[in-house]
Amino acid sequence: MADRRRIQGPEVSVAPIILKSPNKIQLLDENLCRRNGRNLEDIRSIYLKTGLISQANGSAFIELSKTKIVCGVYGPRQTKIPAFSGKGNLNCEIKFAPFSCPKRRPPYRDSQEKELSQLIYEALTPSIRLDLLPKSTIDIYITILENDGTASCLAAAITCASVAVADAGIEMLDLVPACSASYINGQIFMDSDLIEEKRESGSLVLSYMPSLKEITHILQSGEVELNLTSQAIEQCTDSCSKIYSIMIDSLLLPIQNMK
Amino acid sequence: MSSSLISPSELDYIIRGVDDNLRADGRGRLDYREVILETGLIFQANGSARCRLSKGTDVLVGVKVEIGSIEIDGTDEEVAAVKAKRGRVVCNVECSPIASQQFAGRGADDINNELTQLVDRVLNGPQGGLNLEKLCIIPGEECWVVYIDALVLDYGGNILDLIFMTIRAALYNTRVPKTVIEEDKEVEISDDVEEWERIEGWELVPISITLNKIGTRHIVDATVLEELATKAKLSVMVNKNGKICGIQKIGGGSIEHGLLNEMMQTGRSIGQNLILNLDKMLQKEDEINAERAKNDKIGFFAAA
Amino acid sequence: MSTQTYEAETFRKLQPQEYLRKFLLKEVRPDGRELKQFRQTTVNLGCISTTNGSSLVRIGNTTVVCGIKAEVSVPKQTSTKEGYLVPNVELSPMCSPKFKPGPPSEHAQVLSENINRLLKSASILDLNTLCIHEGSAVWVLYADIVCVNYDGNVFDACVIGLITALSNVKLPKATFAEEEGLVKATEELLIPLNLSRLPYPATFSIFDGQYLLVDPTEVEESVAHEVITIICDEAGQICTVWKVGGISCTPKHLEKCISIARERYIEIAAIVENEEKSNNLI
Repeated sequence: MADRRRIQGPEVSVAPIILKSPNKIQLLDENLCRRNGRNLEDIRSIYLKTGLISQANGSAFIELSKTKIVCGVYGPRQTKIPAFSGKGNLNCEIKFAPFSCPKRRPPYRDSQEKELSQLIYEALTPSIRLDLLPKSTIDIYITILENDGTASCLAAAITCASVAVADAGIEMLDLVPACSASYINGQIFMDSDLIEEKRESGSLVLSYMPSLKEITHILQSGEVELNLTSQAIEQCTDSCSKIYSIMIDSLLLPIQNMK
Repeated sequence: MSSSLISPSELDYIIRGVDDNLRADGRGRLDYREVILETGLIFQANGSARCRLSKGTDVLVGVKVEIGSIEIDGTDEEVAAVKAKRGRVVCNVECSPIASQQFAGRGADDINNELTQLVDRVLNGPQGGLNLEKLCIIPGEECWVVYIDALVLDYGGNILDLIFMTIRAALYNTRVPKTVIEEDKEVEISDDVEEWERIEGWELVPISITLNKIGTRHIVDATVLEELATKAKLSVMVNKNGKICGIQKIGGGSIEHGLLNEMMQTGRSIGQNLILNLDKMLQKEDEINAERAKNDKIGFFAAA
Repeated sequence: MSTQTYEAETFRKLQPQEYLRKFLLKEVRPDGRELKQFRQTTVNLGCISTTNGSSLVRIGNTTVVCGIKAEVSVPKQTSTKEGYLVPNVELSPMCSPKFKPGPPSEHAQVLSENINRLLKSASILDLNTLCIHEGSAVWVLYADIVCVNYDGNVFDACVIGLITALSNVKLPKATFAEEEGLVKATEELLIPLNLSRLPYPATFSIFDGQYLLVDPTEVEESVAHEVITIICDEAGQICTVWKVGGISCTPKHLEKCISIARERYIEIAAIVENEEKSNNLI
């Protein structure tokens, strides 16, 4: 497995086992408030900014307290594959920075990254007018700088990528905000962070086009009752509408500053 | 994901048929094709099963249990303590190039990875049904690792549902050897096949129901052509108790909010019925296998 | 040849060298800087909480993030107390259209290799201080440098990122449990690294054999093929001189580079000190 293209470290290395302080973290206090003062249905505040990568056609940066994700969009540019396609190609690639998670991730692409790339592709394609871009490719590259909860990271990556595509001036049907929820002890925790995610029995990620009222992607894991799922979907679509307005603001801001 | 094409008239035919609740093969919107099920066909595996949909998809699953070490690095004590007492499930799905031309070369890479991750996510969590703690041999050191390998032999639409059905049947068929731990922490495996046990919780292993949105309606168990006419696919994973064990949209396309709820409801009720039918078939299969064992003759491809 | 008038942008794309030359004749650069002016540099320490030490560096538009994670490994048999420090530069396809997905490009390999050489030759960190238990357990520091925006002079940004992230590293108190063969560490991160020196770099491009461009942007880098990097430490001592391409570097140029690099050192040190102060206040 020697990779001569990188500086070699030792063959095996492991993260040390961390001794936890004995007092257990309480996810909820007596007023049903979460550790950072949020209510169950509140999402974390979002910082969203476009145009961070000057080299890209479109780019965006999203921050949800600790989660930090950058996305760069290149294209539409000529498709390299000689085969003709009447529709444009969309190519999504997501990468965790090696230091982004509690455990170090080796820099090469793993199967989780491949799967997340696929999920983001599936969430975004319904919104992009690929039929207008024959023979072209749009490349979406996403880097996760810090991961504070994998489900919320996926949701934030979809939101961020959608804004970056809009920033690149590519025609779309709608922006795609996405939101996540965790099921913990039969309660729905919206937009949970890493510590809450460790205790969850299941999670839901939903991406939604608010003006078309269509769901572009849904992913649920864990054993859940049907009506709880329906409730979580309801709450996620509500939150998506909130995120939607933040996305629009972030796209309008640079234009307003120009005036 | 498909490279094959569909003509506008075929598309129109399918959409109108779905609208009228009559599909090309005579089924209604929510009718499943007949499932043919066979278990115990691979002698080298601890459990195996093969499922076929009449005139369509064919999936073979082999389950192998092996002793492996428990991995607990890089986590805090709390998580390590839970992990130390558990076995593992490792899944792999492979679409064979003989099933369809689109799987030739590297064409199956993406779909293989997507299906593998999906199956792995469903079976490795608490929703997977299997009692992983029963698979632990020596806490913190050794456990049983259940390797589930699914091979798609023929492609006639609706692969994912069939993969889950076959995995469930193969797990039913799986026997884990009894172990005795000796004083020097050596693990002794019992030779007595009579003593081998099923993995606890196999009956709670979920199956998947994939709903295909065609036009404004949705259908189950789509054929290849119907999949080409599909706007969006939703897979709902259901277990015997009617609990939802996973939901995932697969492929492009979007689903209206109201339709999504309807699809989940349908998926759940169809799934529960299907599990009941499958359980009956499994019991019958047990009897057949017992009969066969007497005659000592088995034909690999002599299923139906 | 008939005379034609172009838009400035068209001219830049058709004749990038001539375009730059026209600016340099007037002693100014396309982005409005003077020839010996660096772009605005900012450092943000400890910005990533999943790391033991991290730093975000921006030089103009160029942005890199360096994160250092500590893991545990067995030392080499020949040096039972020595830990490891493994640098790695990632130039993802996100940061510039020049890069493709997949294994590190040649450019990334060159950057990683140069940084590794700097760490070794300047002996910035004594690897023996990374020992947990002699012969059984040592710290491995993985220094991963991710480029977010590639707008020229990435090497400077990488080195500043690495050095500041190293000075930001806090290790937990670790003990080696001999019976289990496991290393257990406290949750609090307390112990800083003991760095012997803090070198900072300055990079120059030479255009047309006469113009010395300080801190080149991506556009300038692509037309000026001669690059000089000088790394010096707090005592003004030179750690590395690195010159790539071209033939037209006179000793006079080199002298000038060195003196600018020393001035630049003071500038960066002040920026880092400011950042450290404001970090401590929080």
